[in-house]
Amino acid sequence: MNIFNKALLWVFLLPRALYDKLGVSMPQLRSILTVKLTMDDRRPGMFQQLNQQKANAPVTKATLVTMGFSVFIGCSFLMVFFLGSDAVTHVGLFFALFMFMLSVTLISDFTQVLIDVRDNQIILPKPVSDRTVVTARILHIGIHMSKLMLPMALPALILVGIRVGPVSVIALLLCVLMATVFSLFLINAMYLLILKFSSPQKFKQIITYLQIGFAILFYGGFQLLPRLVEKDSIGTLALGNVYGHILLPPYWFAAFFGLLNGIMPVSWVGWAAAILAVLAPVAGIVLVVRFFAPLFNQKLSLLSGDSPSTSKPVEANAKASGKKANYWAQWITRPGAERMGFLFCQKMMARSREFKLKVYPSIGYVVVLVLAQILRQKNFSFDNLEYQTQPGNMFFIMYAPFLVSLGAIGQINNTNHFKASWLFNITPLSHPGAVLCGTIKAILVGFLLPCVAMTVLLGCFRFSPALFLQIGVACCVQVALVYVFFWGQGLMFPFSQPPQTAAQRGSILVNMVLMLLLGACGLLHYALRNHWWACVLLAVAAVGAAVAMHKKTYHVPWKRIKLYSDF
Amino acid sequence: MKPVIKIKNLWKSYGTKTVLKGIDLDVYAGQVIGYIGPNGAGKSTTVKILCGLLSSFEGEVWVNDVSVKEHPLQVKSKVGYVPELAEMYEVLTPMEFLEFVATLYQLPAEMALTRIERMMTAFGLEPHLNQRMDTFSKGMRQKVLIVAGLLHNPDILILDEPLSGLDANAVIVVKELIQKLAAEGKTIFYSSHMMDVVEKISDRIVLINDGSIAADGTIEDLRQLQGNHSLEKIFAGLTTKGGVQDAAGDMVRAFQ
Repeated sequence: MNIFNKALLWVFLLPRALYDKLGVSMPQLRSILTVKLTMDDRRPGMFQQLNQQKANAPVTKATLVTMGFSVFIGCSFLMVFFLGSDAVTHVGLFFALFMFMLSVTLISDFTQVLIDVRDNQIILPKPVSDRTVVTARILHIGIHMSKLMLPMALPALILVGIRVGPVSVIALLLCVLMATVFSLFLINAMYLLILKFSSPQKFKQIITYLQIGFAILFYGGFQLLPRLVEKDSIGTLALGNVYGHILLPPYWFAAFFGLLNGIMPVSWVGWAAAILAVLAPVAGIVLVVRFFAPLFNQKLSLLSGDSPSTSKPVEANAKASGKKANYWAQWITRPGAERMGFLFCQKMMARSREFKLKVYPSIGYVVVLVLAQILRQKNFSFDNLEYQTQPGNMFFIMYAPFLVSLGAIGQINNTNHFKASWLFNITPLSHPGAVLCGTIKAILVGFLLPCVAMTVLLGCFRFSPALFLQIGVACCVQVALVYVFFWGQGLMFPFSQPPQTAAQRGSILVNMVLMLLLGACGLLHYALRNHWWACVLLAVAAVGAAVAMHKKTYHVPWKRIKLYSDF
Repeated sequence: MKPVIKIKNLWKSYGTKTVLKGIDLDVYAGQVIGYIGPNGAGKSTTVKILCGLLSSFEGEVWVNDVSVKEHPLQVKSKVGYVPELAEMYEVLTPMEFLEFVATLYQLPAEMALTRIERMMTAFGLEPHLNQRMDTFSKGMRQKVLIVAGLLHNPDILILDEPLSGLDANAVIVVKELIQKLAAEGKTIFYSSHMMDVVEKISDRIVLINDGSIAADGTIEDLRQLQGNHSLEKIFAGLTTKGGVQDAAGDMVRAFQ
């Protein structure tokens, strides 16, 4: 355990008398918490999870990394202290960011930390009282939250200390604590809500989608916020001057902070908000302890699969997604290994949690990028998409979606369950390349096609043959590029390698060359835009290249495919 | 002699599905019970109830005269449970994991340390005591789980497929261990699908099928009742309708 864990454990175990009174066994409590904190230190946190470097390297200082990252995030919050018109607004915006980030982090950590179904097998058969287990769980959450919350609030605390004074620091710390408790309550409520309306099996899937959604929101916020700030409205923003602000929890805590600092609220909205800041966390704690915690434990035991009759919904889903994939497979793949590879990839891409977690956010990023591009241009309208006020815009919108396919290509070979790929190795395939052809087609259908469809949809706002020609050409170029990038990754069976970064595969140079190629293709297309015949020629060349590469992929021999043989 | 485990008219349902349908069983000290049955017969549910993991059942279950329903903690401290290829906190080392388990059983630290070292050395795992378990093989993990189940010197040992993943030498060690523990008066509840092992090590075999006890007695008793067959054949005779040979025949005929 590192020094932070030790210190926090010491602090949280201070009220010994209280625990004894509750009937909690101190040695057991200490032991459970020690083990849990040690494991936290060896488990990649949310930030590392999304960006995991290497599967095999043991994680040792996850806590320190997470805390360091929290400080960094906390620093980025400081920008809001320069927005808005008054101190309460500054703090209100700070609380908005703080509560958002805390919730996002906790949502993903909860699935790992709180919903550790192994506890059911390891701790429950031992003579440990329920009270000890529940107390350990609550304290673990407390310690876990402190490790996120304190570093995240630290930069703001320092800034307030410098700007106003030490008393304000204590006031802010108190408000931060209250906001944290309230966030915990919100997340708890949300978890229960999800569990109420979905099966425990689907639960983790929904949490995955939430995580993806928040990642996009986070990225979008950082892309779009500065652009919004340029517009003057946020500069003169003052919280509390509109009745509706009472609905914003961050404002409650800001109002309370203001009150503590002797800034009297000017309106009844301010007073009401300050009162809510005190009442809401207290009510939250009562609700969580009295009602949510028992319900939660009850639902959690379901997650471990104690009840035998719950496999039906998964089965039905599997059939549905299989049907859709089959439909495409019949049209665009050759029967045999190619179709098998296609169907396998379609199903894995749709169901693998790790694949979704790494690739789906890029869809959101592209949407944000496109939106940002559109917003950047004042007086934007679809009428001028075509030519020629700012034709770069349309080219950007046509080519940006390729990033999604790029993300899919980058992840298609990776999985934590890479050992399952022994199956490929023992099959007597005469053309192992056929599997790779199926893989590429799955990426084309799953990621490139929907993006092109979206571009076409955007283009429909102004019907023009020339625009659709450009979209068609861009599509052909991108198909060829998918093949090139796929080869650039090295030839491997889908989902057969442990997760690694490009750096570890030694392909940074290759990737840079490929990115240059992507840029060159885009620029070439842009340069030729006013000559329709040249565009058609480009498309024909791209299709020719794609067909040639497809054939080459099909005839790839066994010895060129990188196998993972350490089973 | 008083039974160590006494189960009386035990019923258990999950929703509308009834898993146990009135089990009655008395088990005495020093017995090795081979607890067998097809998948879904109710073996794991019985075991979970005996370990104090499930409290919502009908009927009575006593372990050492202590009611499982009323005093689950007292029961848990008398029982050692080795689940089949169970989950463990893999990022810990065996030392950390076993010390943790020992604290949960409230063993004095020094005694725990001596036992961990001795037991792990007996299994040949001493050099790996301070390595993280995420790199361990199936057999190594199983050994750690067995040590975790024995650490507090339980009166009753419940083993669920304890030999899975073990190499031949470790299998011998565990088999002998079971005999020696029984000789010391401990009760062993041995649940497995490996009929030849069950036949060899058990003094008494309890066969459960569809939530009720289908047969109960020594292997000789069962042979007298079911014909002089191996336990495997007796098992198949009591738990399948069409017969296992038909299934094998159908498999082969599928090629034609």
